[in-house]
Amino acid sequence: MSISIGSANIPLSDIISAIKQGDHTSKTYAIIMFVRIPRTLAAILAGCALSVSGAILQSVLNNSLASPNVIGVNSGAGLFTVLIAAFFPASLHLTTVAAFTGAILAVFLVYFIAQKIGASRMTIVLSGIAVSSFIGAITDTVLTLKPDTVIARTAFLIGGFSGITMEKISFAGWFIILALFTALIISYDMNILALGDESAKSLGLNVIRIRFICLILAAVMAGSAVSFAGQIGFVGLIIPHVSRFLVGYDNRILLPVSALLGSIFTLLCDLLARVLFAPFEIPVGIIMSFLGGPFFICLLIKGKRGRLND
Amino acid sequence: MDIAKKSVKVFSVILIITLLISLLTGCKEQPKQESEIKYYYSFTDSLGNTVNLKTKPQRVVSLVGSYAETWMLAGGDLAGVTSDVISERNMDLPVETKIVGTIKDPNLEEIIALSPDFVLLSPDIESHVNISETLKKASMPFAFFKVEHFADYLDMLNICTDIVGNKELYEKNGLAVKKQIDDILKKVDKNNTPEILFVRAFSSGAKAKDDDNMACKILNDLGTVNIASKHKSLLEDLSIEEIILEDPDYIFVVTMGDSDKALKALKDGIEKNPAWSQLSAVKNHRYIVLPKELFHYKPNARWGESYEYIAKILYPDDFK
Repeated sequence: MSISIGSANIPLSDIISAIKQGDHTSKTYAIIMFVRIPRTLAAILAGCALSVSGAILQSVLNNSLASPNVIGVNSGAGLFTVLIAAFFPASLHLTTVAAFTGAILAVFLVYFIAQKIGASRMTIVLSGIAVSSFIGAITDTVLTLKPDTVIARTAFLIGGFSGITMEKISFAGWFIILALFTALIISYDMNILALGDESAKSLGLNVIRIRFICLILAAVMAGSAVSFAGQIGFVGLIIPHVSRFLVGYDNRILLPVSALLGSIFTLLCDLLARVLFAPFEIPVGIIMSFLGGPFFICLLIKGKRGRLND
Repeated sequence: MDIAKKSVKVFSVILIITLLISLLTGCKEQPKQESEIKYYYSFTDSLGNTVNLKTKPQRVVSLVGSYAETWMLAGGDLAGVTSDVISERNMDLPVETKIVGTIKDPNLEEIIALSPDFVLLSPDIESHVNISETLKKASMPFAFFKVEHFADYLDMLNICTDIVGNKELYEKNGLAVKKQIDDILKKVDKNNTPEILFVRAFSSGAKAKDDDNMACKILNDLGTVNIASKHKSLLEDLSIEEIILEDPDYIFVVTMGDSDKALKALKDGIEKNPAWSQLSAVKNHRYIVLPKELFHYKPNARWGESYEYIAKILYPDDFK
């Protein structure tokens, strides 16, 4: 549906025909292959990555408000993107790699600081907030000192899939897939970790190692998504909660369901962003907030509060 | 955990990965073989790319309003433009010309749907740089133009009139304007070097601009000295202290965005300072708000008017 619908609706038969013929000069082929397919894939990967990242963080940190923002992913990615644009404007094609690198480095910094004081759930969250604030200040300083920096900062902060290409997705996509695969394998250990540090230790789990691995997986997925989609923050917070309403807390089921719901939700929001006010596009992050916020409020009002941890 | 269940799970995940890998790699574009072709026109754009046009473009899309105007001044027609053509330039366009989004966020699908054979882009807008990658894959010719000063406009007009094949319009909208500017500059008294401050005001604040800016270049050509060149900190923070220290002869303001809100922001900001009214420029009624269409948006064929407008303010006796 995402490939068929847009500013011009293309029937499925035309899509198949255009792909088979492979005529690069055909505008239908160009729209499908160079615009809609990369965009659809980007939305699926970003939605999947951010949702699973959020689910992992909420589980291992035992904090229902945890999201990729909390561990410095967005701020780290944002800083490195700005640095590239400010000091290497001829190398804007490196933005994706830069954002990914920034996200991972920020998480390492958060964990390094947290480890000095015990690497508990609370210290990781507090370190994340502190590091995010610090990195945000550096970003703002760079933009103040170099005001002509070529960067669609607003678009990056809100997030979107406009102008995405397969090259940008393929680099980050590999990391998302591998991290997702690894997360599914250790999902059982995450269930044990969710019982609490003492219980998990008594069951033979290496709590610090598993928590570290989970943080890295969450950072890899979220950093990869941010590197090509910008700072889409809503998905990582809300979709895990919705998934929990539907399937409970078992990470072996929760993670795949979060991936699926996150992909669907992001695709739907991107579709609306493209068609609602065509030819003008609304940033997808705005649509997400419009749709997701009220939906989540409805779920809360329906009285499922008992299934949320504080 | 049960080994059989774990194996099934691992196998399922591997299968999904394999499918995704094939999707990711299957969409990879194969490199084309370049063959010797005789091009209609070739030139180098502002990013140093060689642009080869196989035929005379008939379906041109411009993603910058001022470039759309330049293309039309060169005698060309437009298949698609961005909304700033209407909102900022009030250009009259044929009904068949489509709006393809905003200057900062053009709609790639709309652009491709027009089957353009030439697209005009700006290297200063990130979305344009992103779009160029897709246009390249779709074999849609494009060129980056960077127009900051009159010389840049003249170069662009020269290229556009070459492409359209109407050099008379280069004479009329380019060289004639250059002559107008040269005539104005000849009359400027080189001994007179008034000090000025140029401010760009917007709804949330104001900043001084230096000689990289279009309007400041005009002011500089007309013999003025910009105090922001001496005090670089003014470019970041409009400090009343430094303005008082220099006490410029003229203060020029141009607004960005909503003009009323921008001027109100100035009024509620720096103008509220009691020292403001003591500045020479303010006391002598030389605090001047300049028209946007001549000093914020690229004036194109009206560049001569921009020079004349300022010259009449600075040297009223010489430019009556």
